[in-house]
Amino acid sequence: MDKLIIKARAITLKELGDDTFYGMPYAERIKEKAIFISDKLGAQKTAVTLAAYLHALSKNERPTSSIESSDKASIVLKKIGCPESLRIQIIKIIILSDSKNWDTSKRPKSIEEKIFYDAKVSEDISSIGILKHLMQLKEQNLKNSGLIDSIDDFIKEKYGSLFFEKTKNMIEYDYRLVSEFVNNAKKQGDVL
Amino acid sequence: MESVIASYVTNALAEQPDILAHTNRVVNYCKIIGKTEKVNMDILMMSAWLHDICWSNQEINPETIKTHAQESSIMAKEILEKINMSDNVVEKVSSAIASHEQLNENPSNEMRILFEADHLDRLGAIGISRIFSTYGVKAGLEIINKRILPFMETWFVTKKGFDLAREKIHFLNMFADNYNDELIRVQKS
Repeated sequence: MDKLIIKARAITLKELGDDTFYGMPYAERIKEKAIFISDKLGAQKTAVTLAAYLHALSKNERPTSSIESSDKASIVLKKIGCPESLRIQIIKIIILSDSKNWDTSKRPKSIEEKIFYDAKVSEDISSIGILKHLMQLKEQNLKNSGLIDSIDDFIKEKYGSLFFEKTKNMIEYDYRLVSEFVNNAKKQGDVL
Repeated sequence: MESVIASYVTNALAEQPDILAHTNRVVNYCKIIGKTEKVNMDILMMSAWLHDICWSNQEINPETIKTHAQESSIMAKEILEKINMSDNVVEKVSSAIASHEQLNENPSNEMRILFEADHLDRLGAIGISRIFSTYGVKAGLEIINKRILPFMETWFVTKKGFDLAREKIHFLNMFADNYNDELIRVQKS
């Protein structure tokens, strides 16, 4: 299994490059968070590690759909000789890491799916996540006046969707910091 | 006179809501700081309203203008001359605007307060939002880490300016420490 991880990591590094926000450092951050949350929860760490490395393959300086990423991840996993059952498990983890893909029948159920979702949300609820979110909002041509309200809603929704208390404890400082960001901005003015 | 200028600027920057919102905050900061210092409030208010007026010119190219402070100073001068303001007022307002990015060695109180008010808006959550949403993530980090964090405490000389800046400086330090720690930690690992 270690060989699979080494191969997947090498491919990710080649594909994503070293961009701090969307490249290999991003994949490493998600992996570290996922492994931290996994500890003592009995999760299969190989699956979450491979998902962390491969979930962002379609990201090119900006987020794209997790469906697209899962397609690319599937190709890579086949190429590096990943067992079929593990490949299917990883693809599902990647797809369900985006709540846009959830419906009544499709939601994270396995421990690995929930852990990976929490790891990704942890990145969103951080200073880095806020900076990335700001960029995305700007790309959507949202007027600055709506940015802070949008960030406020985003943080609350994401925090409320976390599965594990352990994740909430892990990001306690980050959550307070980004909440303070919103409060600070509101205090400074209703519009940016 | 302030209401005439305010109305002119509000119309001129109607297509630039972010700049107009920034201008409004700078005007408010100038009012707060100005009350505690010896200043000509008329000069200060006109300077505050007009300090970024160059961005009302949609054809202006941020890449090619010398500095937006100088460009705004020239435009402010033209506007004030058109409404028959005295040479003395025109000179004082345009000088304050010209130096709002970089203060001269012996700034007048109006210059100093406009500088502090404008720089207050580079701090705190609003500062972070403005910088990152304008310049993007990579350039934003560069600006905050190299052009703001090392200097921000030297920008404020007036007591009120420093009081207003304190909380914003504290927040910006906390926020920058947090993302820098995270980025460095992952790079090391």
